[in-house]
Amino acid sequence: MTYSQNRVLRITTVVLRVLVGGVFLAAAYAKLKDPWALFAMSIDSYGILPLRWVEFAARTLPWFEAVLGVVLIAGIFKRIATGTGTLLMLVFIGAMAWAKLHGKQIDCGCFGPGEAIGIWSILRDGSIGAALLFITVMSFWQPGKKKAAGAAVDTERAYSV
Amino acid sequence: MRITAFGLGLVLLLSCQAANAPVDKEKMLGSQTAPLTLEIFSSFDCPHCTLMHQTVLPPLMHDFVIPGKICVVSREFPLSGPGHPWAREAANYATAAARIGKYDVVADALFKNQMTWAMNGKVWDTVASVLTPSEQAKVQALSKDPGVQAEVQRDVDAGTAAGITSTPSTIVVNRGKRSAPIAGMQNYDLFKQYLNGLLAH
Repeated sequence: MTYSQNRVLRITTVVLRVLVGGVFLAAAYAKLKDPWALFAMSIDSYGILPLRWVEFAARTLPWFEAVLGVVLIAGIFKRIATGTGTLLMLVFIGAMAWAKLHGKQIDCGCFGPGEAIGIWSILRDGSIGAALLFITVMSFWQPGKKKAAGAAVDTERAYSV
Repeated sequence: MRITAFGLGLVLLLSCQAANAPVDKEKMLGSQTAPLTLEIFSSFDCPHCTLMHQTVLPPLMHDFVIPGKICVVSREFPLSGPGHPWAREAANYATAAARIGKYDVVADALFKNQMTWAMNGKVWDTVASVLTPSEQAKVQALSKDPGVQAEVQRDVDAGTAAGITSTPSTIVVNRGKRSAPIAGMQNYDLFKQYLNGLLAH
């Protein structure tokens, strides 16, 4: 892979990471600006979790999203943050697909009330999940860094020879 | 029990303001000074609306409406399409009944006997069963009144404009600010906590 290709990949990764972080922050704000029970009603309408877990998820998930958003934008703990984000999106998409398949006409709950689960919300979350998966792969792969490290070793070797 | 019935009757006589689009006062439950208004969009042939009417509305009345904290506005959102051939007719009858002060009685009967009329299409039989002969004549005539039909359509338009796609859906009006529609039949414990949260702010 050429230097310019690496550069494009790195810039794309950073842009996607910041964008996805912003989406997580927006989602967190949309939930936190209302009483927690509103989000709890959205979670409860899926009919997946018992009430105790619904309350726990409604109280903690928005804060978790906020922290995840900040961490993604700041670019710290990249592997853990992107990996966790990818798993979270898989859970969200799975829950929405399950509700859709069961004919439930309910709110997605992604950005507060008022957005019914539909193809659009599943595609949107799917895109965010795909972006996070891409960033996760990039955070483990990091071709540019590897090459740079390799080059440094080569240089060292050349000097030692 | 008698006190509760009196309270409910008293509440029925009162009306509340906050609803945005014009609403028949007979479709309002609650105090004029209530800080919150709930607009509940329902279709009489929707099973979840029946559940909401029968399981959420009574405790809501007891905990919030009678103490003057919340005003409830019933909005018509008759579902359309091949699976809902009688929903509009039921909404028209209920709205016509509201004009003679019988909305709550007719709405109760329509929800209670939903399985019957939604299957056989005999909506009128259910409506007539809770009205006197003179009331029946008035409701029959009013249900064909363009004003009544326009009122139902106004509710549908208001709901559609608000983004409602399913019933029941609830819009909360908090100090004049309308929330996005909350879709589905809510768990009352959570709904109560949500409303208390709004009232506390």
